[in-house]
Amino acid sequence: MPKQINHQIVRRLKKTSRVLSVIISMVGFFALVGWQFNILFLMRVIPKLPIIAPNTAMAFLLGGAILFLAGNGKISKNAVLRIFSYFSIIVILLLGLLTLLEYIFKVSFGIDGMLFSKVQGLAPVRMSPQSAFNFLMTGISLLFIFNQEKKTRIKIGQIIVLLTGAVSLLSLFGFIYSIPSFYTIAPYKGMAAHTAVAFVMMFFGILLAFPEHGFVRIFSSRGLSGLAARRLFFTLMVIIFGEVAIAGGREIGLYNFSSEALFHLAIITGVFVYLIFFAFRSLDELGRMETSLAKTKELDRAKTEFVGMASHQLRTPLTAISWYSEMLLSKDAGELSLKQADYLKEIYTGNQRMIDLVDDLLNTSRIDMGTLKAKPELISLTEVMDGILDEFSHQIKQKNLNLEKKFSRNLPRVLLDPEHLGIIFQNIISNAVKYTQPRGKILVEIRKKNSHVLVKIADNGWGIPPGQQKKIFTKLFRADNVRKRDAEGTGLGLYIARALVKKSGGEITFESKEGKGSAFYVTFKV
Amino acid sequence: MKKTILIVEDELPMLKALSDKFFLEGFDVLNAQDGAGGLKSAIEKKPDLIILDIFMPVMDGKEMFKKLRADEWGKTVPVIILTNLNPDDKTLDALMKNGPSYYFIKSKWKLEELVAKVKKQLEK
Repeated sequence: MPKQINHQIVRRLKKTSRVLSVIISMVGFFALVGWQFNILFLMRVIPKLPIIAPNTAMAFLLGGAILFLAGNGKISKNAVLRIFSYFSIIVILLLGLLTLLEYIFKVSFGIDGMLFSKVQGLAPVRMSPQSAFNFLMTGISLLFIFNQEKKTRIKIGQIIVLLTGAVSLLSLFGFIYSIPSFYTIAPYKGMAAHTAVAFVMMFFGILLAFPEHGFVRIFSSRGLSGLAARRLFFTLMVIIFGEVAIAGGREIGLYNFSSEALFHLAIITGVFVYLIFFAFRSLDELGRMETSLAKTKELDRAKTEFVGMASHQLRTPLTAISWYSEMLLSKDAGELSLKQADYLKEIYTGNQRMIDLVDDLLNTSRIDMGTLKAKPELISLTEVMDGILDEFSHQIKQKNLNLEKKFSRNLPRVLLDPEHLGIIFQNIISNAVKYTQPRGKILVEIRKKNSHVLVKIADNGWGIPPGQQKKIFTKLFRADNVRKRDAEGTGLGLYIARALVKKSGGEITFESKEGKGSAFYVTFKV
Repeated sequence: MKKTILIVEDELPMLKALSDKFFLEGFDVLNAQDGAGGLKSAIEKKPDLIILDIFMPVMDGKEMFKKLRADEWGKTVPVIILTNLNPDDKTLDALMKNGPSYYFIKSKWKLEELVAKVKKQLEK
């Protein structure tokens, strides 16, 4: 995907599109009012320039309404609106297409005067060829975008409306610089000034209705490119509307040629000053972003170092306790009384728990920091499992648990990190051993299932309460029934196991009934 | 004949435990508390096996190991790396290139198991 979207900007652009759509409809509406009540000003705004045709006004009224609805996203949800939109778009398309045909084949379908007959001695005007073309394009574009179905449709609609933009901007510049050939195609009459403005608004309105799609996306993207696009667009608007204002002033004779030149200069200078200012500010911002990125990296490195240090520092004294109690227990320092041996065993077991806890905490922080890297090799799941079961043989014997192993023969080797796999099995089996009553059963099964190897570890122990089953992979979670019976355990085991299974590209699921037992299923791709 | 092992470990409690244990198991034990001393002792006395810690002052285990492997005699002597690093640490990656016989995460192994590994290695 390209850059991320700034949703606040998206909302603003959509709002702009809606405002434009309302203005477009109003242009159409007031022109129709002008035709109805013979108000010449509403028909052409600037004297001497072409008059807006009634059909043009009608098409703007409808087009603006559809754009408003499409941008709101209401059409797809409402059947009545959908039918209205289809109808309106067809009207716009037909107006454009039929008028073009009239020009091409030099005929009259009588559509020009269908809304109004003669007004103030003016025959109902036909819309200009450019307007007809623009409505055809606008209609097609609206047809693509109005239902908001697919991104590709919106993209196509955006591209088609570019033609509308090109033709109307050309006309607009024709008015601004008094070049009639830009807004008229001889011998036909030209586009009205406010028609050109309304088309430009329609062009931007359609583009901004879906600022998160198509090439318009750049304007709503986060980061410097989006910022630059928006700023440059803003300056473009300043130039266009500035020039329109200058042209308007000239047409009504507000100033002479030399002061007009001064206004042009003022716009250009203003735009340049703004752009230069903006460019330097962006450089500053870029610099800040780089600094903060460097800081983040530094922080990450510091965290990693801290975890490394902690693991070293915590493990060293724990190892010393472990080794010395082990030596004392194996009578390396002479005979012990029964009581002394008993106490020492407690020290040894307690210390071992602490070591496991430190390992769990370190693994958790490595998972959370993303520093846990897998080193896959082709390994046999059964060999790793046997090794882990050996580690638990003492506890299994002590609790008189019945361990059943069902390993299929000729299992394929899998590409996995043996250490990670060991931790996964260890955590699940440790739970099975811990949370099954004495003389209970544990089943460990490894078999092939389609293109996967399935490891099932089941017990007939205490199970997981139904209300808490969703949480068992959550960090630090321990089920109530387990918490009551056994103070041991950190609530990290299954969190670590699942993270490692995911990292290995496998899956872990389970089923459990409270009081009946649990079964964990781990699958890996072969 | 008694086999000689060199233990290079900067933490005194660990060094004492290891050297006592291996002495009781019937080995001749040489001690060093940093890489420089370890390297000197190794090349002079040519032990049958070296147990090497990683984090040490003066010269760390990583560098000592590299220098040891550069020596004609040191190329083949069995080395068991003893560490509390995480196995995915870069330092450990670098170490593995020099071909140790084993590496142990200290806290995860019993002394007994270490002794068993050493004995097995020396039988080879």
